Amino acid sequence: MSSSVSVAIFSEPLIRNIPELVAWGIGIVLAVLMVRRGGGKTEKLLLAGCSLMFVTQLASPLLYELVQWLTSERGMSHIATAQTMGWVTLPLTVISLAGLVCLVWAFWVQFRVKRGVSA
Amino acid sequence: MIGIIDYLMILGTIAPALVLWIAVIIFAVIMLRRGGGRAERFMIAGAGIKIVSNLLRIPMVFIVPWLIDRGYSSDYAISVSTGYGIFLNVIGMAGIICLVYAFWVKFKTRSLEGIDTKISANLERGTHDTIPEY
Repeated sequence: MSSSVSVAIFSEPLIRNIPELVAWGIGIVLAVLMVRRGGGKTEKLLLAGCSLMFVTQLASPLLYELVQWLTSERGMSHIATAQTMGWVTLPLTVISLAGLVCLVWAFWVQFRVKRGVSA
Repeated sequence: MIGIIDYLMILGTIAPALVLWIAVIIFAVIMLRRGGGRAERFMIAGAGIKIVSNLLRIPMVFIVPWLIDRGYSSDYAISVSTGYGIFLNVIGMAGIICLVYAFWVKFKTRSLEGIDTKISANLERGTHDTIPEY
């Protein structure tokens, strides 16, 4: 009984993230298609952004599971767990930020160029 | 139990994303007014959906404590929270797909514009040998 509840709690963040994982996966597929059809720097930036966001979405539930494991199995105190989580979350935040910068840059370049061409 | 500080903290967490998506909408509206088309409309739709998804994220934090306060079991509260989280992620997925599709449409349009420009340049020079193949 207790194991089934804990399994449900452990897999809950991963299940919750599946729709956005699928969306970023679609983004990766389309970006790869664009790159293969002669896309340039902008399309490569989109690919990088989608990939980084995919990695972040995949890693955050695993991080949640790690924290659960540290608290329950290792008997770590909540303060120590929070400190560990802070250190593990930092690279994830940096990756997420890098992904966002890539996406914003890609969209900016892609949608800005037309103005230059038509002007 | 849930005070104004909690609301402000949640709002502070989602505020950067909200600002970003509002900026994207403003940019897309400007582009649309300057002769934009389908891609810009999809961009506005995607950013709008992401804003809605972010705003709906606010009540999510309060669902579990609220249900437990009303006497529901923690298992039930967690399952309701999970369901709501999946619903929000489905909305977020729709937003991301709209944005990626907007990029795809723009890519296709620009590719066609590039081909047209090449053809026009070649016709002006009177050389037909370098017309790209479709």
